[in-house]
Amino acid sequence: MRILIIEDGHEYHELFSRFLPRDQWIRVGSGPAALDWLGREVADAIFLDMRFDRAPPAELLGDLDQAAERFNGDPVQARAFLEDHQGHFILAALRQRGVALPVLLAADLSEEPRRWARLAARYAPLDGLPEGAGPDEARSLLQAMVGGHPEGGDRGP
Amino acid sequence: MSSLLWIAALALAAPVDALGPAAQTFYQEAARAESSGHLDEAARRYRMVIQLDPAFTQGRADLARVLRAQGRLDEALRAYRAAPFDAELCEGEASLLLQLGRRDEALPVIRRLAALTPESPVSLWLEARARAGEVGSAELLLSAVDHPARVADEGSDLAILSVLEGLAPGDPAAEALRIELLARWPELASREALVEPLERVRVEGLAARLLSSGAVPWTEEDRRRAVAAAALSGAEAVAAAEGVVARAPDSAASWALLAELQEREGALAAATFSWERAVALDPLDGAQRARLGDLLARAYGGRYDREARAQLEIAADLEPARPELWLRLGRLAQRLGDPEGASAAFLQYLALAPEGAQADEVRAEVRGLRRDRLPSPPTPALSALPDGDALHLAVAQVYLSEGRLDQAVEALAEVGAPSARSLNLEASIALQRGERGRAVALYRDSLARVPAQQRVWEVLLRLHRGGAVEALPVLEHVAAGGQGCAWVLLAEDAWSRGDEALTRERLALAGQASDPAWASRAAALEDALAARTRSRWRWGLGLGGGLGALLGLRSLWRWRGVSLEGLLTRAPRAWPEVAAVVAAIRHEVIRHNLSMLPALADALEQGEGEVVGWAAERLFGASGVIDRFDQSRRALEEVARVWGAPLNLSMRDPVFSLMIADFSALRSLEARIRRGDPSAAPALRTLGVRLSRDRAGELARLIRRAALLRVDGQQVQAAWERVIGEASLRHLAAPLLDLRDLTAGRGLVRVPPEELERMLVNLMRNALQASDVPVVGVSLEVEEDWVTGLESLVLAVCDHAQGTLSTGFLRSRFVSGGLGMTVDLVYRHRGSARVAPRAGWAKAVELRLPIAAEEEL
Repeated sequence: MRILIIEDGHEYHELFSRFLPRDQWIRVGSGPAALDWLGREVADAIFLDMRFDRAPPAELLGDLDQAAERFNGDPVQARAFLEDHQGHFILAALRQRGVALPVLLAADLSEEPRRWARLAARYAPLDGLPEGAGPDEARSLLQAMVGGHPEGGDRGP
Repeated sequence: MSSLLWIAALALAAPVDALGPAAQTFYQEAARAESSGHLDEAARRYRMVIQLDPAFTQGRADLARVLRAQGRLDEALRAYRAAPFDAELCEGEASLLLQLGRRDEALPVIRRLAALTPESPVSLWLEARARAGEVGSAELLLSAVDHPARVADEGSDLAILSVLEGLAPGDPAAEALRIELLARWPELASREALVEPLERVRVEGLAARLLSSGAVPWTEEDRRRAVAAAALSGAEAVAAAEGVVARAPDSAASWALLAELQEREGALAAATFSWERAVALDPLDGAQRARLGDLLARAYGGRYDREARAQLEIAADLEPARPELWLRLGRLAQRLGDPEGASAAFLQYLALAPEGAQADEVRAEVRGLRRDRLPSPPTPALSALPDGDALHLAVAQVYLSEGRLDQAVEALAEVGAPSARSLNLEASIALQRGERGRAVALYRDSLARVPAQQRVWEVLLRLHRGGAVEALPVLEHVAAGGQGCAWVLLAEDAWSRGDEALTRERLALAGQASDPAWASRAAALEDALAARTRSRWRWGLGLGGGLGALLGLRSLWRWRGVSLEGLLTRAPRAWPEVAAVVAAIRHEVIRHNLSMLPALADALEQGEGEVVGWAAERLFGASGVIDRFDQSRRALEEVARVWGAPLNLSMRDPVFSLMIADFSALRSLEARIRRGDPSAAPALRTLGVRLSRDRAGELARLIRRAALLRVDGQQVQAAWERVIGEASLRHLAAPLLDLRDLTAGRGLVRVPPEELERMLVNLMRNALQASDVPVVGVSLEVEEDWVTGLESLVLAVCDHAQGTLSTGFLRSRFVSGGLGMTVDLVYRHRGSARVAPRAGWAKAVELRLPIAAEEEL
């Protein structure tokens, strides 16, 4: 498989490249970089980190003014919000751009099944990485989505 | 982003006072560690502060400063970049990038800084520094120098030196720039660095002149003509002197003669030129220089006073025994607004001519130059201007946090009537100055005004334990006045000294403390007493004797403290701080790292040495997973300590005790993993599942369960009953609550009940007070963010008050009672407040609070 990892650090890329060397792991550091890459290259699936607190502010997707409205107009908290939920913003941008690749989100929303159900329907095909899942499990989930395995798609984490 | 938003951001920039109690404690500890040179510890503490309050950008700046001091520049850069719209962090980032020679990266940051602080010259200094060596850097530098808000500091210094270094050696532009800088900004910090090369150029010039000119003497004929010229008058004299100059143009005496006669005839500009020529030809003649200096000072309305002073200074150096030179120099310095220079020159005059004709006058002037003004009369208390006092207090607090004690004292002097807060600040300053006795007196005064100040009591007790000041009598005195919190502290003191009887006695006197934090401290002490009694009884029965008692005490000591759940039960308001640390453990320790343990086990069994080595470093290396877990654990313990319910994670907490044991087991595998020993693999797999799945899940559930509150109509109704029962509102005829609960059981938020009630009560009270119609509408709705799927509870309080309350005003209020307090509470719970139109009403104040998942209950 050829997987695009979108993360602000290098942890997942290092982890998967070392433990799953038979697959091809390509890393980009932000949403805009991912959209750019996907305009030029192809991948089988996307592994998407949730929190982007190390990305340059200019590369965060989402409207800072609108986010600031959530926090009494405080841009510092607004930026933290965009960072903490950047995975969602990237996901929304991908789908808006017509990128229909399966996405494995590095977030466990099993404690919030109703929210997860809404998001899974909204951004399908989408799956989440369960708490504590290692590289093998991540690969299985990706493989299931790519191969159209019945567990893929709108299954909650 | 709009400029209004930036203004709002600046207004919201949290001062130290706005931090939660635990974060404040960490912050103070960090500052102490930093000032005592324990930079590792300081960095750790600053990180804890940031972890607890990510919006506190000052903490990030402090962390970056410490990291820079340690040479951890990459980490410092990351700290600066965490809040890129904070001016101070922007400045730090740009300055560090310049230090690292990364000018291209620095320039966009500097531009951002310029947009954030258009009124400050700092971005100009940084840009000049970034563009050193480029055309236009000198102009940039001079525009910073001309800025009305310029400050002579390290930043301006670095910029000046960088730009000068960027100019080629020997480039006349460098000398011109130095002169220009000195002329435009005499008090600049790098003055010495500028003067030194200029001085060298001047001395070298003088030496060259001396070598090439002054040695040409008059011939007898020249001398005869000169005497004849001096005997003439008017234009004839000047013409004759010009003849002498024509005969002996390289003689300083010729030019001096001409200058003398030109000056006598009132041709002052020509005389200046001639004196300058004479000085140039014989630079070591003090008399000629003095004449030139006098002429420059006298004839040009002050425009060339600086040049005049320079000539007189050299003249005085060349002929230091001439008192009149020092006198003239002093007058000139006085005119230039340099009292120190004037005083020094006058003293020199008085030393040379103590009985001189002007000695008495000069003595009087010296006394005047040295006299200090009496302090300004104290400002009368201005009770109508609380915001002004608040501002001065905030300014003093800022100065105090920066260690600028004199400025802090100055700011405090501006405060009208002393208050508990101003006295506390003054006491902090006294403490930092080592004036412990005075600090205690000030704290006493503060407590006499507002007795329920937990932090102040703690400081007093600490001072007492430090042994330097006897705070205990103070506590006893106040406790005798009926203050329960003082008795709790006294009880803790007795407990710490092993006096159980006294502990019990004092706890009994403490009674039922009204403040939850004090109540929980008292409860913790009671638990400890009870546990000690049980333990002693058990051991007394079982083993008897001294050894048993000793072991019992040891056992008791190990069991003291509460679980995480206990902490959250006793101090529900600690939830945001606890949750922040636990989230960091889950995300940064477990999710990012421990999920690899089963894969690491595979790698061990398959002999993949490189992978194993990499993973081992990530687990056990400096700042590795284990280290970070320990740090987070300590952070939790500190939070609990501050909230008055010490944690015992290893013995009392059902989740953490297992997690600690698992980490300990992981640590014990280090040597085998580093050796690549596959026998560690099964244990790693087990630990991987336990830690990253079971423990992390349990921890998350615990945190999510705590502090959850369902907001529904019943609660709103209860708050309403309380408001209309208040004395100030009892006069209202038939007040009416129009309640619409549309949340359908989904209004679950993470807010302590008493805080939610405060918000509701404040808003309803405000609505009733502001309107002539005693009807208040409340609606509870749920709103979803489309991108993240997150839901918010929208609590709208509607009224018929025709006022001018706007969202901007609501958010800009200084946090005190009423609306301001409500906005502050909402903000602390990651929510938002705004004013919105609402059909059928004049307006609605809408609070948005993040909704927790229903499944979390």
